Amino acid sequence: MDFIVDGFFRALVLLIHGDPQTLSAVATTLKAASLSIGISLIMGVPAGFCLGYYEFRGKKTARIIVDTMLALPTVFIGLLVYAFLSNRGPLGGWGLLFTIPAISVGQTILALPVITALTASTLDSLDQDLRLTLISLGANKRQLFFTTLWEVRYGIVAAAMTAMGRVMTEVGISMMVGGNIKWHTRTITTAIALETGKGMFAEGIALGLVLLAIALVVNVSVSVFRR
Amino acid sequence: MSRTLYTLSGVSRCYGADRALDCCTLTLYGGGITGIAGPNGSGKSTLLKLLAFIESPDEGSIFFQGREEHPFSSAVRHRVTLMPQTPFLMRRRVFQNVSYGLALKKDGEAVEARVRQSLSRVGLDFEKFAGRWPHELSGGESQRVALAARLILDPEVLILDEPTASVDAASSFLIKNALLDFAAKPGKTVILTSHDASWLEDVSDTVIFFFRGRQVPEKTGLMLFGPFYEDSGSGVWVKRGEKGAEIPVSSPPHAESVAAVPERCLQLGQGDGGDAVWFRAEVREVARRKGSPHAQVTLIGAGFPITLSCPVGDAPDPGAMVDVTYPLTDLQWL
Repeated sequence: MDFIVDGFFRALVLLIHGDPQTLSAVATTLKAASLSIGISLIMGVPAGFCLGYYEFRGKKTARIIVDTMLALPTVFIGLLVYAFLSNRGPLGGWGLLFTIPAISVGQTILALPVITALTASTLDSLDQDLRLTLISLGANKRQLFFTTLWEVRYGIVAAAMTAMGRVMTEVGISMMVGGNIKWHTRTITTAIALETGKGMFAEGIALGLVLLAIALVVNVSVSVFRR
Repeated sequence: MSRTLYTLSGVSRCYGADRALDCCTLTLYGGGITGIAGPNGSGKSTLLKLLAFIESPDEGSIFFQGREEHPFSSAVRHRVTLMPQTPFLMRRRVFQNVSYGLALKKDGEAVEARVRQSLSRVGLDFEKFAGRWPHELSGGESQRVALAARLILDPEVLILDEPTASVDAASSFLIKNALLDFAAKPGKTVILTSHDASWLEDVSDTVIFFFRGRQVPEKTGLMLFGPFYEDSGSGVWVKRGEKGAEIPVSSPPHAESVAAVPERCLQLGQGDGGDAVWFRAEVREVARRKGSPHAQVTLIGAGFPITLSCPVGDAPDPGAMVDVTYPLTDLQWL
């Protein structure tokens, strides 16, 4: 038990003194996650809007596929992305393997179904009278789209936060396509796995605390935004 | 009322297997207030959505001032507006909700003054209500804010679906006054539905009647849905209702036909004509309108609702058991 308590104290010291290795892992995590969440929002919000707002043939099938992709294991995504980006893979020439963009590609595959499915669910539960009201007030199709998005903004933010949580806490993708390279592609979660394996609990706990702090900052920001 | 405002030609609208409007052909004229009456599920709300160009018909065409129009058409976008039965207010303050249509039109001229005027038309004080959120309003206030959001647009055609449903008498009065003021302006038309038949007749210049997705020529006072039974002894066809009570009908063309008796054919008392039939009914409500020599009587006979009109002096008291008679030849099979 002592080593856990000791680990907490040493973690605080590392954070207060701005340990370069810890900060590098934090920066890598934030870069990869921001990139993947940004891409996922650009692709996932319109896709979720279509899936939740419109009626079309094959909608139920599309919904089942998206919902199934919510359960994609991170190591499987890592394996797929590795296969495509490795030298033998079809995208091997891009030289992305073991880089932050490679991690982002995998994390986008992880986050996209989350944002799509949650946006679709939010729009599904939207009051049907909103559309009627907007058209009756003279909205054109573009105004209808953007006003509807604005009305469901909290749902979309919640979807982004859920995806962010999933992306920042995954290990499989970062480990497999990032390679856990010190100063380059080592993220918070891969660093925790590595440090724990080496018996370096203080570093692991310090990084865990950073993850918790990021989650806290994000949730407080969302709360302020909602107000 | 003079010019033709809407012409509906063979318009049908389906929701899954349900045919809400069934090959409806109809002409509506501009100016004044047109009321649309009919029982629940007769297609009134669907008709209003089509008239407001919120939805497109599955079959047929809708002509507005002689031109076939569709949803999002620039010719109708800011000229026709609909207020739904349940007022929907966006997650914005009352000021933004009322002025939202102006923002969509990119009309930024004297917005505050116009919001103030629109709120005042529906009896809401600007200083008190403009800063409120939708959850801080009562049902009647929400309905009036929704109406103010339409009035500010100064449309040519204002369409309202049950504007007084679930509002108190004070709000109903204020809404009625706002509609009458609006309709009194030149070039303005109001089209509305209401569950309250006497309110609708009171406020409307013209009332049209709907049943099963189509316009019917006159107001129905008694409507009976199949199956019907033939009395083996007398050979008379009847509709059996609650506690074994029966209402006589003529021979139905099909087992599941619908029998309709126009309101003007229903009378109190036992008829003496050769084809007159009668049945017992309990008086539920008697409504009298200012200036009208007739009272509107609502009854329940064999468990079925009946409405009829009678001279004020002959109106029975609510709770009384009376005979209701009608000539069998006036029964229509739908």
